[in-house]
Amino acid sequence: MMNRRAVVTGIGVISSPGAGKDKYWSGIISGRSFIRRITRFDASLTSVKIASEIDDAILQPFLTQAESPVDSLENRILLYTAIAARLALNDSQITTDDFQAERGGIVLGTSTGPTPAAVTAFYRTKDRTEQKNRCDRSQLWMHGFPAYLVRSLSLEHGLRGYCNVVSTGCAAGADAIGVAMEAISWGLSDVMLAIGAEAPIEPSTIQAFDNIRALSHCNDDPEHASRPFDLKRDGFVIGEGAAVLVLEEKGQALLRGAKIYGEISGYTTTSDAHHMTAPRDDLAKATLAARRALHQAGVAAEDVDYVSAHATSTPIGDKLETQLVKNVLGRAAYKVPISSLKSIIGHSSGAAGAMQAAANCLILENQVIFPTVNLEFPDPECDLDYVPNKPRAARVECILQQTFGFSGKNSLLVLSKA
Amino acid sequence: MDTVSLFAFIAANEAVQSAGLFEPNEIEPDDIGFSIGLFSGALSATRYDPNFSLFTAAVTAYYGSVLGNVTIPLGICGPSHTFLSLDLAGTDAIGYAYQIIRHGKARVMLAGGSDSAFSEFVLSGFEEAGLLTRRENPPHLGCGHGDDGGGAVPGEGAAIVVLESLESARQRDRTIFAEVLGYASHADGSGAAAIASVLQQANIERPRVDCIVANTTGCAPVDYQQTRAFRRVFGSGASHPPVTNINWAVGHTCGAAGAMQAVASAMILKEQRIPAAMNYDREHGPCCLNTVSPPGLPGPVQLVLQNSFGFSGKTSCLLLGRLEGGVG
Repeated sequence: MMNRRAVVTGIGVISSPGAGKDKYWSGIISGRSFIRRITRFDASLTSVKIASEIDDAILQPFLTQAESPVDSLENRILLYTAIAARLALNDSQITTDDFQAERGGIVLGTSTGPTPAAVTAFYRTKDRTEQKNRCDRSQLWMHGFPAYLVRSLSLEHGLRGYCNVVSTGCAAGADAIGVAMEAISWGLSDVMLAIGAEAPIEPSTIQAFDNIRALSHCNDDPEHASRPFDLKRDGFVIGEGAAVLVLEEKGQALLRGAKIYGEISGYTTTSDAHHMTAPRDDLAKATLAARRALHQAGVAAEDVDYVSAHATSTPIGDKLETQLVKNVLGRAAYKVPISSLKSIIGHSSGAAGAMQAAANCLILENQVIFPTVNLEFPDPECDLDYVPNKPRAARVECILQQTFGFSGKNSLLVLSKA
Repeated sequence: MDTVSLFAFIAANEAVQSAGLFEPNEIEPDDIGFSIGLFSGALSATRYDPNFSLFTAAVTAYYGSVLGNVTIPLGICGPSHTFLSLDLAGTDAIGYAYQIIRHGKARVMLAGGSDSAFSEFVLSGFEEAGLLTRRENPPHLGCGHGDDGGGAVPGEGAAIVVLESLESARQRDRTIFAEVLGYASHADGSGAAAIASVLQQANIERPRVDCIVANTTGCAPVDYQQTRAFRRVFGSGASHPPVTNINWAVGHTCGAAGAMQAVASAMILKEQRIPAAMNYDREHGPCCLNTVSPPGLPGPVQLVLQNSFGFSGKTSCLLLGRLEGGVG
């Protein structure tokens, strides 16, 4: 049972560059930022006025059927998970004949899920007392719970096995992939959809992040606002979307002749037990998680060809992450390329870890590393190779993915060429 | 700290004390993890402000905040997760912790659930969806199987158990309440697949189950469905194990319900008696299960099946057994 391995056989992404893994890949290697002024709502409500939004035009082709009783463009996370899951399953070319329904499952990682949209809609109908509105309200209420997203995907795709939601803040996307990988390697499941999804571009969430001074205030220059590892970084910019990986037991994937992007070969999560929002200065528990993940994957620090950084463009976070790479890789840290997605598509909180993992699978496929955009002014405390501004061809067979969340959560994945 | 986090912390702290985890030279904090189920979680702290912000304290009240609110004061650094599978969340959190220990990813896990239905959004939503009882007679509320009480009675609270590898617990010479023998979770709608699968996993023949601790909500459709699943697995004759529940006592505690069930199951094994499911109207009971009536049943009890079935069409089960010579 311990020899069951989880490989990635399908990728589905909906993000600001567009729908589908090809749009995603061409977007993240383009060297440009998809961060703009907010158009979704009246940004005079919030002091931060920039984000990386998914344009409605990207979603329109998918609105052929009613996705939800909520105005379908309103409950966006429902739409994002539905679209990304379909894209991923199409990409994997898996059919219901390839596995037993009760051996197929779903793990969704999200921070707030559909809560903000559904709560808003629920209260909007508050004063009505007619029977119809009562029905609508009960539907809206159900839609407020992330488990509802999983249930609708389970029904749509006939995945009737292990289904769950993990909600571990910004680490949720990586944790979803980790828990899905565990479900396969522990024998609970043969096929898993591992999903990270978030739709946080609404005033209350943005204001909440701003209240803890996490966000960039570069409202006048959106495309240059997020700048991981750059001396002038001043906080993150919010992004949104969903990334879905189809994970399969390796033997089954080989048997059906599936295309294999790579293997999720290691996963560990630890807690700092230190502070609700600030990371631990000594990085002891993040280092522990990285070492455990590499150990599980059976690789040495020297074998790591690329580090997928969480790096959200906050002054403290990027500096500590640089130190973490040095702690884990030792002298090799100076030779290993590192890059961050956050200046390209923003920080999509619960989706971010899955966005990273999708990008990492595409790096393994294309043998090209996407660049850290907007890295113009080197920070002496961030002195590693961040692949600034231009993509780079490289031999990449083993990736260490670092994802962090509030509450001091360190979730580390290792992805390897299968 | 929001209510749900506070409940979780209080229960986790009690569990830690009870297991003596922090006594000198006991267990490294890196080897202790935390796995918790929530239903409403952050929503319990939601206050609606029509002019601007939904969450008065959004960052401290997102679902994941419970992780920090428990791991920081207790100083535990192992794997931690928050599961949101509605009223099955507590069972799923314990099931996950069981797997983590079985596969050597932690030595000890604090696992359970925490919840409160008493926020405007959650309570009015339950009401709107027709899930709450309309009776006004408190002692007869939340009757579970058989009573047409018309729905659930909301409850709140937290329950946390300490799961530990057998080797570690024996080494520390601690009281062992029960052994977890299996966990299964299926989104199959009928509820039977998970029960069959958990028994198969542990290689247990059906007649050997001594007691079922059900999650009886008092909502007729949910309880019927669960009853049908039991019948499919155990038949409708004498081979059907006695069924009990705790919802009549504590209400429907949402995300904590599975964890409350687990504590009840462990105590049944430790005390060797099965408590009655109160408020069960035998005459009008449509569920016709082998429901335990007052004053309960004596032992011996070797195997308890904990069944969580809820609004999401998903079933999660835990199988708990008495460890011979383990109960100190």
